Amino acid sequence: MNAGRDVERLIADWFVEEAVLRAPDRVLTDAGRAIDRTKQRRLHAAGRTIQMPVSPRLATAAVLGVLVVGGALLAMRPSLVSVATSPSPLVSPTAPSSPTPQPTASPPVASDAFVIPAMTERTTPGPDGISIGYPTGWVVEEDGVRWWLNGEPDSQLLIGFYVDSSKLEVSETADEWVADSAAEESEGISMTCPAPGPTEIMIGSEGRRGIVLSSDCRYGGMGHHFRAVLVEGDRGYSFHMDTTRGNGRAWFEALLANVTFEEAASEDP
Amino acid sequence: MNEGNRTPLPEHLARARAGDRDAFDIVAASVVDRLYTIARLILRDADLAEDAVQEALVRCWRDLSTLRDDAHFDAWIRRLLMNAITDEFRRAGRRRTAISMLRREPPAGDPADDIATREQLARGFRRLTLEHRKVLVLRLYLGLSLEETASTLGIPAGTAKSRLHYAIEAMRVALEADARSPIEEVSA
Repeated sequence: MNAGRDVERLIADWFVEEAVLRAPDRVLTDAGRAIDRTKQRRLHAAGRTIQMPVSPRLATAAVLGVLVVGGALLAMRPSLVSVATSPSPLVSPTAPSSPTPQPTASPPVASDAFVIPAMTERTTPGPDGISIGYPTGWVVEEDGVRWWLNGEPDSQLLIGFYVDSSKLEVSETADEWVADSAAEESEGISMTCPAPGPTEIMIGSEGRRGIVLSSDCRYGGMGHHFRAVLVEGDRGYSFHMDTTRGNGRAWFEALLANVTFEEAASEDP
Repeated sequence: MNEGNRTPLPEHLARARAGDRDAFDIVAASVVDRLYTIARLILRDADLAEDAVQEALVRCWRDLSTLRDDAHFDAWIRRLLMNAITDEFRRAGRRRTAISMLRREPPAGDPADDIATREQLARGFRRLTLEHRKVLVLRLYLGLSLEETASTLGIPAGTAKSRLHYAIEAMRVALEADARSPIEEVSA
């Protein structure tokens, strides 16, 4: 913990050292020229025109119930089991029945006995129509689902799966959107990726196939990163998974297989 | 708090909202430095930071009428900036061909050495995703609370917390890894 605080202090001090406190004058003058060509938005139009500049990440769930079930969900690898201090045995949960029928893909089982429990729960569809199946005990957040060791966010994060989506720009093709996403993936982070698995991956249970941009790519200390993208109609979807353990492809596949698509809300940007 | 400039006066905001360009110039001048500081820290590129700030100011002008409460101006324009930063980052990525290569770094110096540490921090920071960088800057430079950070990014507080956790851990490991290993994979 102290080491973490030291790093925070180090980063904070570094930011202060690196900060450039004055913008070049041309920023204002150039912005002024662009503003001269820009009409102000007016609020007299019918309906809501609140321009909350939300990020392209669109919520997949409005449900914010915190479902904590100790940490006794998963039969984890021994190294992780040894970290967990759950008093209960690590077994797959007996699934409570879901109130609505769901497309459930048979959960894959990783070859290293990393047992994936049934995806017995489901988020409510977000404005982009996506809902995510997940095991009991995971925490549902606005943009995805996560499982924390012993349900404690302060503890070591094990798995987080989240989705964002955005409409393609008017002139943007699906290929361009995917290429853009791939470029962003490479630009934002330096990762060490093992030999890539299949570049196509099943998303949902209706035959949709996404493209894998990252698979079990290692970054930083905590990260094994997965990302797949899919363009459906005029919307591009990104599915991300971060986990503290390697060989998580089976998890990624299981979570992706339990994504469902419904029609996006019409006002969804 | 390390932000420069000052919050614009309500009268200037009101006039700018009504379309008064002179008033908006005052508003813009009152925030431009701190927006630039934030953008520069996150993007680590002067040109991209300038473009992001310009875009944020244009959006501010365009959408100012939609700001319901002037008391929320600071948070609102930070959100505009975050979106502009994302857009600039994506545009920059589009212009570049993403390749990976294995680069052999010069041996890391004594971790206690300030310069070496700064270089390690810079390398570690560049490896972070844009979203992780944003969380770090908002939280550790601006000193925003987790809730404010989350609000600025349009994400739940829990997500902000997990991103912060990831980012700090990634930076810590980057520092340790740089101290250990001379080989680093980079994107160009």
